[in-house]
Amino acid sequence: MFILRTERAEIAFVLARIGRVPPGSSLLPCTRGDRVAFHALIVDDSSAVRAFVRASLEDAGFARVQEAETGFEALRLLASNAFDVVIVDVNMPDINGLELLAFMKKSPRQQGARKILISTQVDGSDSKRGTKLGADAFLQKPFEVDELRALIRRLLGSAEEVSR
Amino acid sequence: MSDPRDNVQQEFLAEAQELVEALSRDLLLLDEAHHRNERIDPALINELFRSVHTLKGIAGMFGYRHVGAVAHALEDLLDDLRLARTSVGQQLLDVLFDSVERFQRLLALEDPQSPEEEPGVQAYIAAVRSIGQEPEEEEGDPLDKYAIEPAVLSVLTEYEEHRLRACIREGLQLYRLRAAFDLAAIDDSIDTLRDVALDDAEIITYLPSLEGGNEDTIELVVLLASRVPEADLKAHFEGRYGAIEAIEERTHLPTLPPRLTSIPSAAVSMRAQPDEDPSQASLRSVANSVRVDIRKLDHLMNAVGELALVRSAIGRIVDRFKGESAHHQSVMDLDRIGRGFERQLSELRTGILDVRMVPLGQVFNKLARIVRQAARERDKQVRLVVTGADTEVDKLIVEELTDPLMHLVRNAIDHGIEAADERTRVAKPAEGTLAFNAYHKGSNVVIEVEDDGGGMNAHMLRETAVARGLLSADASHELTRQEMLNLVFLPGLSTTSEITDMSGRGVGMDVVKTNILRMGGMISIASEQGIGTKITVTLPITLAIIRALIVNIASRTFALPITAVREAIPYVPEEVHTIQGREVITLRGETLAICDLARLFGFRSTARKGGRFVVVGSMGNRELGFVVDELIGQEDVIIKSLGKSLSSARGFSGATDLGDQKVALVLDAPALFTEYFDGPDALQALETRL
Repeated sequence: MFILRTERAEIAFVLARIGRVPPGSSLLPCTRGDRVAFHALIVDDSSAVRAFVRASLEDAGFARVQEAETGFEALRLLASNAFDVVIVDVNMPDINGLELLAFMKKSPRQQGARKILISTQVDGSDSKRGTKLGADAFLQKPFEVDELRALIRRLLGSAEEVSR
Repeated sequence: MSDPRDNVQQEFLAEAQELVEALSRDLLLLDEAHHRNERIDPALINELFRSVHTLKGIAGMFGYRHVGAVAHALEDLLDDLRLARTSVGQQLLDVLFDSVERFQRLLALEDPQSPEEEPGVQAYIAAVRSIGQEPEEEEGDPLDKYAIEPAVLSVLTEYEEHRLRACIREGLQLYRLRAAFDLAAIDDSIDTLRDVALDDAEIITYLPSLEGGNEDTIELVVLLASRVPEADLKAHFEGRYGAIEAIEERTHLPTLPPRLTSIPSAAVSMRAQPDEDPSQASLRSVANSVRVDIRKLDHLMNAVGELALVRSAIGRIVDRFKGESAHHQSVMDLDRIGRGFERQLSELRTGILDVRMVPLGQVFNKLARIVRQAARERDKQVRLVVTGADTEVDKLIVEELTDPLMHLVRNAIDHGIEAADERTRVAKPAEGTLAFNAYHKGSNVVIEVEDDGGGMNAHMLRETAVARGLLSADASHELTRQEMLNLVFLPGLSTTSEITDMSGRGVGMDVVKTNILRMGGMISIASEQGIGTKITVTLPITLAIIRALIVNIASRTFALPITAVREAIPYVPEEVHTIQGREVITLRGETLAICDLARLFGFRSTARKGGRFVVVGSMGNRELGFVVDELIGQEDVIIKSLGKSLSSARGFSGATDLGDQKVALVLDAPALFTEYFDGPDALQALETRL
């Protein structure tokens, strides 16, 4: 498997040389076909989980999915965007998922956001804490594609109702 | 709807691989700390836990059942460890080290659900479970002693809560630090804070607060535990990082705790330090990096190659019009633009090549694990010394290099380094030394694997070769000592362990050599009996693009990798002698074998007499002069494969596009060396020659 990790700065350098848009400057369209332009954020330190959730969300019609690898990155994005759906993992180094939920609960920008908490915990204490902190749903890792899709459909439905 | 997993499978494998590598790296640190009886950093245990925890999560999601099951068992074990329910011991370390190989094998399975793996996995899990211990009963909750706001406790994860309890039990004082952070530079600021705090404190968690924050800054409440008295910490943090206060122990019945947000906001904004410590870079490099499939880089490199052709086409047009005065100014402008284009192009090429480079330390880390394991298996004491771990080399080469190097390491420990009592008997230190040295030499990278073991018995090698019918007894007597040592690379010589044990070097050296040659490298061996063995591997830094000497042979154009070329001298037919049926010349007092490439390829040289050249090639410790008709110049070329139908053609590593619709075959220098010195069939040549 010849995948390598490389510095973003190096890629940005290469892209700048050949005149493409460097990563980070988001010029993504906010609509896709006739679908509603939902905007989602996935916060997880595992890139495989982020890629998995992103693919599921894009399949479900999300026009714009942003990813954050750390709580700090998430804070940056939460400060300047209003998301429709935010999916956060509980266990992350530094700022954890519960702290992000507590932050979003107070943040005026994120009042319309549907919040999903993910965790590997089975005894339900994360889920209970999360619900208290304003999580709309809880997903236990590992989850199936269908589970995620059903949850998103449910949340999207209620979000559309809210916007009406 | 398609399963989105299909598209992100690669992402899973890449991350899983990285997690296993991180696990392996951290285990070596843990092992080292344990053997030195050092305090084990809770952060290290937590890292180990996080690696298997994440692995468990993603393995489950991507259907790698066995990986998930093994990770789950280890997660429980490491959880016990980080919550101090069990301690680090030899059995625990062995089980953990075993997991690394196990994960790698399970990840490589064609069918990740394979029922055949079930028994092995279950047995391993049972071994892991036998180590864990029952948690001891805790007396009262130490958290009750402190007036920590419920709002704070409600957002702590289980681990953070445990760390908090552990810190209180260890008698650390709890502090609350408030500081506003610049959102854009928050990672840097946190790193700085962590550096300042780490020696005397443990950071439990960071709570983002909405107070005092805006679009650009955010206020964090940092919960930390420390032994340092409040006054000292205040002196350290106040003003520089924000306001710090001790969290009081309850002295009487709980009163209404002060709300976090009611603390006067004396927060000071923290900005990133402009002159950063380079050692910090590694902390952030993960967050600042992206994963790239190397094929995409090959694609970019090809595009650069095409651009280089465009550039030379422009150059030719400029040349064509240079003499004409009518468009003098325009031609000069075009020339100038062309030069600028070339500069940028070369920067772009360097940039892409840089992206492909990874430090050899990646391989060395894997090897360190093998060293540890092999030494334990053989009950030998081995000290590993590594120099040049930051030497960078193409990712593809690193991937291909692991197996051959692993082989060399195993051989060095199995057959080279002696057992402790044997070493003491011959007045050597009981602990053997194995060294990996890496360094750049021109556009090559050199890797040495050196041990201070018993060395190889050259005569034993020769006798073995004769006994196995690989060499006639008569021929064997004419071999030099170096040639005897080189016999170890003959296929069929070192396949039985009982023979190799005697010869002092191990199994499959021919395979190692083949692998190294395939990458365009060379391998050489030096060994003294009783002193040790040094194996030197020389490889090109990258396979993506090479600098080549373009030559003409019988009116055809060929490219010779410059890494293999030492110099070029005029060919003087009168100076050629014949020794043992080989043509040689004398260069600065040394005999140099020469090989007429036109003759080798069955062409008739078209060069006029005396106008030809000898290109002196050098590979490892061998030198050979290639006779060519004409030297054209140096050029950076991108080697393209010859395709399947021509893959049997020996002596060429590919073809390259030189622009102007000219194609040149790239000579495979290592293959030519082998063909010349060892013959198409190395054994046969040895027999006929001797």
